[in-house]
Amino acid sequence: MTFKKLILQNYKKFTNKEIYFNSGINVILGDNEAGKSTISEALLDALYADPRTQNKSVLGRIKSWKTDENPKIELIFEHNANEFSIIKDFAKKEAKLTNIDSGKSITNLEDITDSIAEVVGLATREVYQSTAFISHDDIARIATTDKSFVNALQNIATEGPEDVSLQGILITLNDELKKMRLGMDRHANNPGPLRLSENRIKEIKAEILQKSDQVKKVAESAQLGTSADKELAEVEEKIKEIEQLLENYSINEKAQEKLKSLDAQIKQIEWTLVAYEDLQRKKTHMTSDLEMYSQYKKFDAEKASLELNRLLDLRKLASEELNRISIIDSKDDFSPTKDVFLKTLLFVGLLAIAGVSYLIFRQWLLTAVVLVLGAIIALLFSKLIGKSAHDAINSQREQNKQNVDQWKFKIQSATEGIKKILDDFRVEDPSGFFTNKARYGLLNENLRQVDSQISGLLLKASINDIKQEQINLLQAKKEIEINTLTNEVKKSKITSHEYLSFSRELDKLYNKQKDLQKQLTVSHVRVSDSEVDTDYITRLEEELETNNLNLLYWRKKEKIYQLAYDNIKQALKETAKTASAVVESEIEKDLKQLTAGRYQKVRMGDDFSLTVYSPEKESWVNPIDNLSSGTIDQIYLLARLGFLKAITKNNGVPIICDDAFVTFDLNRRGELMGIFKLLAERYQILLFTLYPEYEEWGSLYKIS
Amino acid sequence: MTLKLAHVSDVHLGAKLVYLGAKAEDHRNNIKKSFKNAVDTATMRGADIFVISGDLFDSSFPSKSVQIFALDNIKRLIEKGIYFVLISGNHDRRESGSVYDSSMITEYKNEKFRLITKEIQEEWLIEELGTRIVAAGTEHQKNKKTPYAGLQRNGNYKFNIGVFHGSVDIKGEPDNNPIRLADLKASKFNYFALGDWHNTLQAMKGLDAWYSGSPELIDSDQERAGNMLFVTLDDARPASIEVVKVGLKSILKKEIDVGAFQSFEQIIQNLKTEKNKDLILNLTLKGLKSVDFVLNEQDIIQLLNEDYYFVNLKNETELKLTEKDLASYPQDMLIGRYIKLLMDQKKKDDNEGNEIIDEAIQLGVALLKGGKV
Repeated sequence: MTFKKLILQNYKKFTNKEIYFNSGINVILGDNEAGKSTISEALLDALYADPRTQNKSVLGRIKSWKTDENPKIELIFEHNANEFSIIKDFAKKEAKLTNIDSGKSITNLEDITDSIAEVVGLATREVYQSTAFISHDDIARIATTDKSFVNALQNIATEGPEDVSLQGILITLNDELKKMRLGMDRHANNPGPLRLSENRIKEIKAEILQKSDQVKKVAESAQLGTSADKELAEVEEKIKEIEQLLENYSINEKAQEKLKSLDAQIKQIEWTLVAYEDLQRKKTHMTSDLEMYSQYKKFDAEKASLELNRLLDLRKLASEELNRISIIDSKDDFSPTKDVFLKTLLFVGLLAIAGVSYLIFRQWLLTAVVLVLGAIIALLFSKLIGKSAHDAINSQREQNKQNVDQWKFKIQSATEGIKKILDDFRVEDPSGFFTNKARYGLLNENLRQVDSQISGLLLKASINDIKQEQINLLQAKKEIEINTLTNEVKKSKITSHEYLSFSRELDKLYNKQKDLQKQLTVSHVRVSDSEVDTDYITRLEEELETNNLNLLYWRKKEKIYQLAYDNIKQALKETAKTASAVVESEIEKDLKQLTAGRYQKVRMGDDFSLTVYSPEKESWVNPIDNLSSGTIDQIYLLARLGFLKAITKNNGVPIICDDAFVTFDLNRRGELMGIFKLLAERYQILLFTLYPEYEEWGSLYKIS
Repeated sequence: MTLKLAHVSDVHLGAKLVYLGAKAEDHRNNIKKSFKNAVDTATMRGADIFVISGDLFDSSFPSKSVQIFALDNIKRLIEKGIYFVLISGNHDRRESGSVYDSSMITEYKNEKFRLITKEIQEEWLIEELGTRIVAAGTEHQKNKKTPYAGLQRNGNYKFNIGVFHGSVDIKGEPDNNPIRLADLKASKFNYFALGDWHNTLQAMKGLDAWYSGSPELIDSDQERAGNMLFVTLDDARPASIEVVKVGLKSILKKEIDVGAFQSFEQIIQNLKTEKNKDLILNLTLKGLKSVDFVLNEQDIIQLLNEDYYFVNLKNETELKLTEKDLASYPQDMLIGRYIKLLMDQKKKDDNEGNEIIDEAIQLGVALLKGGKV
C-alpha cells in the first residue's frame, strides 16, 4: 500500500490542502505548528474515522480552526497496482471508497472499514498507531535501560496510546489486587476491603448471633414466665382448694372438739344440778330433823351438858360418900383383919430376927433369947397401937355424922339441877339428854357437810350462774352446729389419713409455688434485664447484607482484576511467541550489517525482551549492555517493523514517523538513516520532521 | 344504616429493608408515617371500624419502641370511638414469647379492641354497629390448611365481615393460609378484609374481598402498594371501595437498553428526566454493550442518588463482541489476544462467570488502551 495524495478541507488548520506522497522515504518538513501532526492524524482519520461520529472529543480534535464547516478528508492510495480514493466527509457524515481504476465505489461505512482493514492489514487506528506510526515518544521511551527497552518493545504489541506501559498495567493490577487482599494472608494494620468486609461480616454475624440468642433467651424466659405464670395460677388454685379442705378439716376438728368439750361441760353442769338438787333435798330433810332438836339450839347444850355431868358426878360422889360413911359407922372398933395382919407381920418379923441371930451366933440359945426379947417388944408395941386406933374411930364417927348431912344436901341440890336441865331439854333422863345432844350434833355436822358439798359443787358460783352457764353452753353448741359446721365444712370431711396426705401434697405445692415464683421472678428479671432492641438487630442484619454485597463486589472485583492480570500476562506471552519468529528474522536480516558483523542472531523472549548472540563471548547478551544507543534504536525499529510484518502478513503498510528522531545526535541520526534506507525498499515511509537535516533522506515536501 | 370500615394490612412496622442500604432506617420511618396517615385518614373520615388484616409488625418480636408506636395509634383510634380489629399475620404470627403472646399489646384491654391471633375462626359481635366480624389469626409461617372454611352469614347482623391473612387461590393452589374464593363467595359476607399481599388488589371481580396492600411499599417490586381501603357498607351491594393513598414512596420501574445509547452520559441524562425524590428507581440495564462502553454501577447510582429516593440497579447488559469487533482487535496484538483468551474462557464457563469475564475484558482493554484503574 502506498499513500499518493491527501486532500484536506476544513480539517483543523487546513481549509484546503493537498499533499502528495511518493514511494520510498517522504520527508515532510515543517516548522512547529505547521501542521505536520495534523497531516499524520488526517491520514489515520482518512482510513479509520467514522464521519457520522457524535463523539465530541473526536469532533473537537478535527474541527476547522477557521470555518464552521465540518471537515472532509480524501486519501488517494495505491494498492496492488490499483488506485483508490477514500473520502470521509464529516459535513455530510458520509464515507466513500472508490477504486479509481475501475470506478467502483462503496459507501457503507462498515464495508469501507472492512476493506480498509484488509488493505492496510491493520484493523484499527489504534493498531496502526502502535505499529506503523512511530512517534517521538516511542523512540524516546527506549532510553537506555533494559526495562524501558522491554517496555518499548512490549508497547509495539499494544494498541493503546504510546505511553501505555504493559509492565505498568501489570504492576497497577497487581498493586490493586494487593490492596484488595491486604490482611487476607497475614495481619495488616490497615486491611484491604476484602478483609475489612470479611471482618465486619464476622463481627456483625457474631453480634447478631449473640443478640438473637439474647432474643431467643428473652423469648424463652418470657415463655418460661408465661408457662410458669399459668402453672403458678394452677398451683395456687390447687393450694387454695387443699388449704380450704384442710381448713375445713381443721374447723371441723376444732368444732367437734369444742362440741365435745361443750357436751362435757353441759354434762358436768347437768350432773352438778342433779347433785345440787339431791343435796338440797338432804338439807331440807336435815333442817326438818333439826327442828325436833330446837331446844339444843335454844339453850346452850354444851354448857348444859357440862353442868349435867358435873351434877351427876356430884350426886354420884355424894352418894358414894354417904355409903362410905354409913359403912364406917357400921363398924365398932378397928377391924380384926387389920389386927391379924399386924400380928402376923410381927410374928414374921420375929422369925426373921431369930433366923438372922442364928446365922450370926450359930447358937440356938442366943437365938431363943433374941427371939423372946423380940416377942416382948412386939407385944408391947401392939398394945400401944390398939389404943390410938380406937380413939380415932370415935372421932371419925362424929365427923361422919356431920358429913352425911352435907352430902345429902348436895345430892338433893344436884338432883334438882339435873331435873331442871332435863326439863329444859325436854328429856326424861340424862341419857336422853346426851343421846339427843349427840343426834343434834350429828345432824348439824351433816348439814354442814351438805352445805360444804353444795359450795364445793357450786364453786362459789350461784346456782343461777350455773344455770345461765348451761344456757350459754347450749347456745354455743348450737352456734357451732349451725355456723361453724356449715354444709361445706361437713362436705369436705376427710379422714385424718387423708388430711395427712393432703398436708403432704400441700407442702409439695408450697415448694412448687416457691419454685414457680422464683422462676417467674427470674424470668421477669431476665426479660427486663436482657431485653434486646430488635430494631438494632434489624439494622445489624441490614448492615450485614450491605457488607455481604460489599464483599461480593470486592470478590468480583478481585476476580476481574486477577483475570485481567493473568490474561494480559498470558496475552503478552502468546503475542510475543506468535510474533517472535518473524521479528527475529526481520531483525537478523539487517543485524549483521548494523553491527558490522559482531552480532547476527537475535532471540525474543516471552515478554518481548531481546537478546543478541555474541560470537565473541559465545553467549546471548542483552543488547542494552552491549550495543550503542543508535544500534538499539535500529533494533527497536526492526523489531517494530518485524512485529508489523508479523501481524500484517507483509502488506507493506506506510510507516509514519512523526518527528520520531527529533532529539537524536548526528551519529545516531546517521545510523538511523542507514536503516531507513534499508526499510524504504520494503515500506513507504512518511517522515514528518522539523529539522532540515532530514531533507536529503528522500522526497521532500515542505509545509508552511 | 351505614358502616364505614378502614382496611389496612401488611404494615410491617420495623421491617428489615436490606435493599435500601443507607436509606433503610429512613424508610422504616416512612412506614411508620404512612401507618399514622392511615390512622389519621380513618379518624378524619369517621370510620366505625379499623381493621388490620395481619402483619402489623414485620416480625413476631418487634422492638419496644415499635410496639409503643403501634399501641399509641391503636389507642388514638379507640379514643375516637373507633373499633379496632387486629389479627396476626404470617410475619408477626403468634409464637411463644412473641408480641402476641405476652406484650403491651396483649396486655391492652378495651371493649373496642380485639386481638385475634389463633388459627381458628373467632367471632366478634358489635351490636352497636349491627356488625359481626369473623376473623382468624396466624400461628405459622406457612400453613397449608385453610382456617377460613365453613363461613356462613349470620342474618341477625346486618354486616358480616371477614378478616383474614392468607393467599387467595387466584392461580393454582396458594401456599400460605389458603383462602378459597368459593368459600368466600358462598358465605355471602358483606366484605372480606384480606391481608398478606402487599399490592392493592380485588381478590375477584364481583366479590367484595380486597387486599388493601401495604400502606407503604416494603419491597422494591410492589408497584401498587402505599394504600389503605376505605370501605362503605350499606344496603347497596357491592360495597363502595375507595383506594386511599397514604404511602410516601412509590416505585418507578425502568428498563434501559444500553445499545440504544451512544454514551454513558446519555443514559444518565435519560434517567434524570423522570427524577422524583419520592420514587424508588428500579433500574434494569439491558442489551449489548461494546467493549469500550464501561458501565460503572456505582457511578450510575451515585449520579442518580440526588434525583431519586433510592436507586436499585440491576445490570443485565452483556458485552457485545461481534466478529467485526473481534476483527478490529487482531489476535496477534495484545488486546486481541487478551480478548480471545477471555472469550475462550467465557465459552468454557457457565453463565455465572460471564459477567466477570465481560468486565475483565472491559477492564483489560481499557487499561491496554491507556485507561486508568
